[in-house]
Amino acid sequence: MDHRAYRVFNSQEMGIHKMTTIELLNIENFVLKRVSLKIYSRDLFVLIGPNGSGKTTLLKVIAGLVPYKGKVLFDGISIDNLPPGKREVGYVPQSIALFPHMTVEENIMFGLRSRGYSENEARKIAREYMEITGVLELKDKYPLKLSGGEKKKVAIARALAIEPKILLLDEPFEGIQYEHKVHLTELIRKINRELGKTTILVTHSMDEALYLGNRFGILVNGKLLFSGNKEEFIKSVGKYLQYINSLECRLDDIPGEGLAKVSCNNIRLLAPIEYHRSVEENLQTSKIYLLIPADKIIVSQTPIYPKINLFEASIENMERLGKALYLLYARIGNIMVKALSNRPYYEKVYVKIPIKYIHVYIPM
Amino acid sequence: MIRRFLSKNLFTWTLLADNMRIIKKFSDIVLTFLVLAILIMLWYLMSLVISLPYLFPSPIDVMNAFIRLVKQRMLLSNIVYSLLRVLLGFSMGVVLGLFLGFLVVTFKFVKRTIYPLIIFVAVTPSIVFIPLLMLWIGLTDLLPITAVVICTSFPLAYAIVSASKNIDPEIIDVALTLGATRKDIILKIVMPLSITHVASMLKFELGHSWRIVFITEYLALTTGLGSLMFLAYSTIHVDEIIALIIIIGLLALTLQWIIEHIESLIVKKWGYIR
Repeated sequence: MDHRAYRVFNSQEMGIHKMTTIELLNIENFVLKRVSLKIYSRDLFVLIGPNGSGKTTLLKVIAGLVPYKGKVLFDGISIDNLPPGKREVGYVPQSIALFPHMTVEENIMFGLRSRGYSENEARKIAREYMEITGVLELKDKYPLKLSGGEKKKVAIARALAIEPKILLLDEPFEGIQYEHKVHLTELIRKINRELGKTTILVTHSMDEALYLGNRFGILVNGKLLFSGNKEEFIKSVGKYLQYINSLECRLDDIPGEGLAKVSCNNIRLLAPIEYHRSVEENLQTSKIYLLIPADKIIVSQTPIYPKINLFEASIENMERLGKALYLLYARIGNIMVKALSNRPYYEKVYVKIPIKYIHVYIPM
Repeated sequence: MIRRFLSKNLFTWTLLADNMRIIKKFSDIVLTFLVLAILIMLWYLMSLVISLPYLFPSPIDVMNAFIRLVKQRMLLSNIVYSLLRVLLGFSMGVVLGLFLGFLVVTFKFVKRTIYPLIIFVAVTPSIVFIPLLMLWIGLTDLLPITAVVICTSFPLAYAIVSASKNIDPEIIDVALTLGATRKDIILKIVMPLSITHVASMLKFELGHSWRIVFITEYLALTTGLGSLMFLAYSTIHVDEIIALIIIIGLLALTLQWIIEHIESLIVKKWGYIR
């Protein structure tokens, strides 16, 4: 599966804007500062931001688990006075928080039983969601015996079983193996597209974020600095987040399968790309955007072989972020690249941009 | 060569290994008895050497003292007295402790007001309450029972609260979003999740109850194994003292064994480490 798809799925395209919307108006509490946000029905809204910026708190505000000032509206109706159990949100926290003393099936049945479903009804519905999430064969197992990825799926099934209006996923890709990550990504996509569940996804993982999300928000220090669609996000993410570079480039050529020659101002780069006819048609005129995480960029005083995507650069500025963590601003020709490094560098350096960490986005 | 030999004779080897295990278990028991017999023999020899039977009685003297206690019909009734006090006090203490514990966990108001007092009583050595209780309650059966209730319930409540603190708060958050009521959360989440911790606490509390009952009987009552001990001490019957130590020890061991079984049943039924 390649996450660097350049198709924009957006709710307007799918023509379902008339359904439920979720609105946050001037939300304020111990972390958040006047956050206002609108999430349309069936959106997969990805919330990105550094640690401690208030992403989890925002999810908890919607779920009614932390105090706040301001308004949360579902379909225009305020839910501020409703307790968490009446808000109809499916919450999957970062720690997953499965009930360790219950089997997978009992975990999924818990919400239904709490809502007054009979044992048999609850079992039937739980079975349905276990099938959807692919955990049916685990139904009699206890959480302690499950792998990280399996636990996440069970937690998602448990949240879905109560048929919530919105699904809140807090860092679902954290701490699981690559293979499970792929399955989980597909599952979340399926839930959003096929079941039509409006979803808010908090993640650090840019790959999954770009693959899944159709609308994005950037939260820094409790402030929502940006919200918008994928294209707008990719264009502006570098401005708001220290650890992401976003470059506007032009597609020059597709010399081989999976690779593209791009030029960003005057520098030429190789970037990964998925073959698409429309891309070839638009060659030369195609504007594309590259996202490169600052921590993946390699800075060195000596050249790094092979010399692919290797540039001479000069350090223009440097910020010390931690004991052994520096944010370097390196100028390559006309462009500025941010790189994280564990030691300081001055003046002339070599900067290498590894191909596999470049995310390509082609607006269509 | 060795591998070929092993694989050919694997069946015989496993059979042999099984037999070895049984033999080992059996030999362990034999060994324990052997050590015990040697110790008793040593004890007997030492008593012959020392030859002060009123201060260092032989095993035979202790056996005779045991028979004497049984014949005087003192032993059985006093065992029953002590046992009843322990069990009554302990079970009442457990009920009260569970109630208090879950009260504190459930209501923030209770936590703010009563919980500090619970901590105070739980961490204070329970023996220090006995003089006060002797004066307030008097020298009746109620004394050891009350003392046991106090020394069981407060530490248990404390244990429940600290166990519930260890529960991941996100588990509670998720339960809330799923529509669980406060009652659901206490009964279906907090109680089962703290039960393993509480069950192991019970074992400890039972041993403690024995100590408290023995001390109150020894100090203040005329019935129970503690009072028998006091009688034996004041009439300088060392043989009876040793007989009583062995009896009390064996009784405590039996009760401990029972509670351990109950604990493992609880953990199996509600505990989550399976």
